[in-house]
Amino acid sequence: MNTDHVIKNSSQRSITLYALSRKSFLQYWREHLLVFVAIAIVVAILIGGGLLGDSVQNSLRDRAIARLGGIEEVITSEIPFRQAMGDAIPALSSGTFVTPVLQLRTTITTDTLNSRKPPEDEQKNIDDHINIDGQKNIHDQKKTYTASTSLMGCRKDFFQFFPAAHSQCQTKTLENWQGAIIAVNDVLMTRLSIQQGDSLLIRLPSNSDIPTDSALGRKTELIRTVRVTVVPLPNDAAQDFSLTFDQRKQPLAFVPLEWISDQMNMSGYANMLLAGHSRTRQTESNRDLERNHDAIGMDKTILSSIRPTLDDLGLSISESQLGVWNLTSKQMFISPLQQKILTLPSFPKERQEVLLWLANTIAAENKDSQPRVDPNMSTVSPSVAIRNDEESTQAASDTTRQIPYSTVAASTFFEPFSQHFVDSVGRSIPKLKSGEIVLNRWTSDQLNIKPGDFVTLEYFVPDTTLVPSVEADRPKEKKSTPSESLPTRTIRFQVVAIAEMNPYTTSSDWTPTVRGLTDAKTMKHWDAPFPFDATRIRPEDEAYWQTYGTAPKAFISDVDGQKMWGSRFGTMTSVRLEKVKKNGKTLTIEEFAFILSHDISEHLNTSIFPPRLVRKEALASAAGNTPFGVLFMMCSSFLLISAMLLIIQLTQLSIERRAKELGVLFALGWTRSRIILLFLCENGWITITGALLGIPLGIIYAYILVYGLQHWWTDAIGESFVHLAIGSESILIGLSSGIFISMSVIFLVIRRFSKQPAFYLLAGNLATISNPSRQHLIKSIRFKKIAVILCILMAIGIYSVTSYPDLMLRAGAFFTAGLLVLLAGILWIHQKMQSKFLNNGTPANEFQLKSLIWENTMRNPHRSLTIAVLIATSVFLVTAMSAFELYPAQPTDRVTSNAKPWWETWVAETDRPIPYSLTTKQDRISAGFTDEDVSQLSDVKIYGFRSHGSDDASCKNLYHVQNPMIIGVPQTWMNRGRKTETELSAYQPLFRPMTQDADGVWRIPMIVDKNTAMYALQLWNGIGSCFEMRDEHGNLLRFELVGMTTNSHFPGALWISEEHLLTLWPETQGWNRWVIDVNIPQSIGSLSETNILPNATSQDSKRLKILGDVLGDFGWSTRRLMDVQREQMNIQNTYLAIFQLLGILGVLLGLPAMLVVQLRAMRERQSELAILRAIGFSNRRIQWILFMENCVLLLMGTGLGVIAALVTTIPLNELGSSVPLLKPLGLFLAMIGLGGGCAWIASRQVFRVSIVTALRAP
Amino acid sequence: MSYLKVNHLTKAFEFKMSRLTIFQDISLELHRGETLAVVGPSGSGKSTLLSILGTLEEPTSGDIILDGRAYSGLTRSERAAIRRDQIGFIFQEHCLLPQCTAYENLLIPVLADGKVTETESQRAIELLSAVGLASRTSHRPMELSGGERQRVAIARALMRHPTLLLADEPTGNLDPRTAATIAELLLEIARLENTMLIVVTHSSKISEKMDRIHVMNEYLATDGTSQSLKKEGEPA
Repeated sequence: MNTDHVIKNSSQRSITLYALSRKSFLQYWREHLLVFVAIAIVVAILIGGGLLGDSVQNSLRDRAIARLGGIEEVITSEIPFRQAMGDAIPALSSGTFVTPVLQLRTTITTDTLNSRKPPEDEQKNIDDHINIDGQKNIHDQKKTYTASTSLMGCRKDFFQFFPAAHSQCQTKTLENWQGAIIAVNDVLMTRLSIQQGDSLLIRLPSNSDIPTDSALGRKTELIRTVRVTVVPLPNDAAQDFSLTFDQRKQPLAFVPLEWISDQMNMSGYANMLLAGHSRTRQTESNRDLERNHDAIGMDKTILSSIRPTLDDLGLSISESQLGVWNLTSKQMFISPLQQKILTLPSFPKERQEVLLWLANTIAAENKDSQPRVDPNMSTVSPSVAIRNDEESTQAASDTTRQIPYSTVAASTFFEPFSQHFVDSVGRSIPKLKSGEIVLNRWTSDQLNIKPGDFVTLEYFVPDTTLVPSVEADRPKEKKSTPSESLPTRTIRFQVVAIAEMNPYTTSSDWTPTVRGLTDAKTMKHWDAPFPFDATRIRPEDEAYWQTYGTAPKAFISDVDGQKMWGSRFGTMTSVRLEKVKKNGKTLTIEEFAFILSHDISEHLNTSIFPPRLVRKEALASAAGNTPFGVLFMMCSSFLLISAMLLIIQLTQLSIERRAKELGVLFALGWTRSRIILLFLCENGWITITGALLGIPLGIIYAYILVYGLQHWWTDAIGESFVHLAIGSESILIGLSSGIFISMSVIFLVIRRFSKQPAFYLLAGNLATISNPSRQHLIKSIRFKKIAVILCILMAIGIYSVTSYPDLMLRAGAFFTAGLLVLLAGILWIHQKMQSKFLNNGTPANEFQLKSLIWENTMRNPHRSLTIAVLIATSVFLVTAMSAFELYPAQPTDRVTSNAKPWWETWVAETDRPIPYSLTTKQDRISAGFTDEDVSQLSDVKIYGFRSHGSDDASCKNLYHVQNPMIIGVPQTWMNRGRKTETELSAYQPLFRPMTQDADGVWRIPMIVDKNTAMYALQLWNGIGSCFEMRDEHGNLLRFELVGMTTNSHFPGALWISEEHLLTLWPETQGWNRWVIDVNIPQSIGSLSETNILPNATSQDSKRLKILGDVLGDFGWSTRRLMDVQREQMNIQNTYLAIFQLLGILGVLLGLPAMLVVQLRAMRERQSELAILRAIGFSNRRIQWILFMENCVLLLMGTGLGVIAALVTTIPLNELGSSVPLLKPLGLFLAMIGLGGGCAWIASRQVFRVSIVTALRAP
Repeated sequence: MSYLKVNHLTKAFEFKMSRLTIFQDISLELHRGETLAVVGPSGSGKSTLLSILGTLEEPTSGDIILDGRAYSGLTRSERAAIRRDQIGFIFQEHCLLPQCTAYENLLIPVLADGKVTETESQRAIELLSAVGLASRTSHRPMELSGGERQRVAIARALMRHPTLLLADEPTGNLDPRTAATIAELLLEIARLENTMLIVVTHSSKISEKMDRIHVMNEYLATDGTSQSLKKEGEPA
């Protein structure tokens, strides 16, 4: 169709629908102004929420990237490797480099040599991990501060990863980066209250060859203390360095690599390799960094091209005098990881695998003894039997036919070497079967044994923590001396041959090097890590030692050896080879090692040294767990609802005033849809302009929210780190959503009015418009009454349930009851309003001022109900949310004169693992506690846990966790007497075996804190859902959720069984997490947190002090479980507080809406109020009427909201959630004040117009 | 030939506890070019009758046929089409859109179902000239006098060549002199356009000028000419 014809006279241009809408928009701009503001608020809230989400995410990302500096890749290894391993990486791009690091977790203490007094206000523990022993040293009035720290031994090139330092001190430090110096970050500086030049004490682990948990592993003198001097940090930007993703700053210290590796007897070795590029510019942004990265074209797998040698795997190969090549490990056992070298193509398949162990005693069995065969030993040869303790003791007591501390070798049969393994007549000794033993000549002579006789071997169980698979039962503890507790086992063998003493059988290369043992001059000089009775050593034994050293005195089959001595530490101690040939040429050891190194690089790098792409991990982690944008939009929902209600009310009012215009358009033949289109176009102008204003308002709102997070609500995020980030995407989404929501709301209002018959609209009789038919009214009222009864009954039903399994479930149930009461109230009020239209009005003799006020309030029931519902709902939600506030569980045992004991639970952790779980009395003695200490701790129950990984997976950590802490739960945990049957049964699934899924991935049962599962790990589907992660070697692990706990002792950890933990990470040593149940002595009177703790503290802290004193070197620190729980609960409570605050703001926004509506409505009521004035009502009386009209609505709404809230909160009061009366009271008073102000302002408008003019008003 | 036929029209409202019959059993017939005055006391249902004739409201019973088409059974959009194409409304309070000029107010009916064409623009100008407002086309209602506004309203009602013009007290808000002028104008235009004209009025001077008078009185409608009614006396 042709477009409008343009008439030459410009004043007579044709009008279009859109032109008409624009004219209307300009005509009624005053009415539109407030709608415009309301739309701006809607858009501002949506944009603000989105920008907050962007800000948090960007801040997390920036923090993670800034902490890494230029680091791209990392390799870590439990086996120390050469620092030079990274030097040989070929063809690095310019600016790219690799540097080694020795990283460990340790404890740092201030030195009493520091002459400066600490600040006087430093009284409280500012670090949760500070030793509770904060007592003043009364001699020198100084305090000792301790902090758990991440210690980085690095070279000076490490600091090149960060923007260059500028200060002279820093440059000087860098130049002199050597010796006993330490540079600490601000966090550590504050916690220790130190300054440069001060002296600190660092606890360093002593390097142990043999795993601590092994029977031959050292369990004492594990920590040594060294003194260092504080120097300036060479690079300020490095002080936040971290490879774990957590927004909270952690204590961090740097020491020279060379120095610390010397101190730890690891000269030239490291445990971490970092690769990346230097950041030369101080102000280089993260965006620049990424552009830089692309420009350099860095190979993202730098570290995959490292060339590890045997040394880097902790292995070495040597040649014995017989020309036998011997592959051994520095850690005595060739670990499962090291054993991968045997799979290399260049490693000969033909080899002899040896597992060597120490027999405490080899004893000849008395011929007349009748050994008992354990019926459980069905898998072992019938000749092998376990003696009971008494028999073993008896056998052992026959000192004339036993020899102490002998090495025994279990090996595979290797044909090329069999020619050397001969008996007295020169016959090769065949492959040994299970239960058979070969003694060397010396041993058989000592024991007077011949083939066919039986001997017993008594030995320490290799893994002191788990039972080897050869037995069903745990071995009984056998003490070789009264103070020792390593479990031992005795196995019986039949002698099948006597091996001749020749260079093969007497070679010391059967035995791997064990410092303190294999290098001792005499047996009596052994520095044995196990219980060793030097008095048992005979001159013959010393003579053997001098001649043959550690040569095995006996040989058994590899099958028996594996069963007896195979453990998670490894199943072999050496691999013996013939000289390797290649292309017909016999290789030298060096040549073979080189070939192996090449093979390792090609085949094993990804499994032994898989590089972590930490920058990628950082970006993935920064996506975070908590959707802050959505969360804050939900918290702002009341503001949003209030703004939308304002739009509705104002639009309604505007259209009501233009009802006649609507009628005219109908009369002129306009269809309903066209009228709606016209009004939508008109309001479209408002919406778009309002939405555009919403953009800067949204940015301001986001700024306020960020400020709030930084200063008021830090409990929710742990630390102030968020900066405002303005993203166009969030703005666009907020803008378009806001426009859509506003237009939808306006559309619904216009549509409702357009449904009215044209006749009514022309009449402009608004009261008539609202009047439904009588039949409809009766039906509606009846329905509402039924609904009210149903709601009340349902609420009563909820109350009648006496117990809920879960506190949160209970809170949810009562919240629902409150909601039902609220709904019932709203329906009751509405039906009361509707009933008015069925009446003939108030009887004449009962009509009072209050009747007039009530009639006025109900004149527009829809509007009045909307306001009352808004107030009631907001009061209810703001108040009842308190039901979900969490408090730590209070002790439930009541103390009376016939007191049951109180128990209080603490949790503890150490920086270095302790070789004892401290569960038993013996453990505590072995750990170094005196008898008196043990007596003092007799009523303290301690449960030790092993752990792996470091990331806090709780809601405190905003990052998406990559390497969560995993706790190994021991079986002894099930014996924890305080637990209910329900709680105990909840842990049972943890001990189910691991299963393998169809894709080959291991599925491990796991229990996690409920909030951690839901919000941090996002296991929305609950029980049965899985969390996946990759271990250090790139293997995928799948943890299946089999249970959830509330108020967990370690809320940030995944709980699996200890057995599974050791299966997945066999290198795990010792225990480093504890749960401690402390028996609190009786006290009289009622209990509260305030009075029990002062009474208990002195005894409590005295006992815990004992633990701290003995275990302080390991970095022992304790926290009350209640404090741990409170910290977690504060997160939820903070979000609730934010919701309540924003909810209150929403309510307060709704009140200006009421004011505006009231002001506009005054125009309708001008003539009505003028009549009252003409009759004789004073201005004050009219103001009072208007004020009371507001109060009716406020009282209705607030009263209903408070009642519903009380229904929710009163039943929960006994559980610590208080009945929140202050908030609704405050809200009510605020609303009364605002309502009064609204009425006063509205009345001023009325009084401005003269009575006569007002009477003539249409 | 255009005509309007009303058969036994009744209108009642349900209010609160009672039923209010506005009028009952009205029948009348009008042909093209004829004029009819509807008179009666306040509350007798004159405006209601006009609303029903204008399809703004539905009767309780009875039927209306306009140009051979019955109102009963029509959908809402069909009613709107009748109002658009066959009926013109003139209200007591002119009901002009304050944001539009006189010229633009005339085009509002055109915008009801489409865009303004040259023909329609021309018609608007002609009508404004016909009502004596050729020089006031670009003035908004607030810049026009009461009489001028009503002229614009009359012109707007004629914009789409209606067969039926309905005027509800078109001079009710005007002074007597202006009222007379407007009444004359209305009649003249109606004759020129050859439309049926029904006017609700209290004014006997206007009703006298109509061809016929319909008296609404105590639910009993009496039809007759003005002269015969004059003989019988003015209806109460």
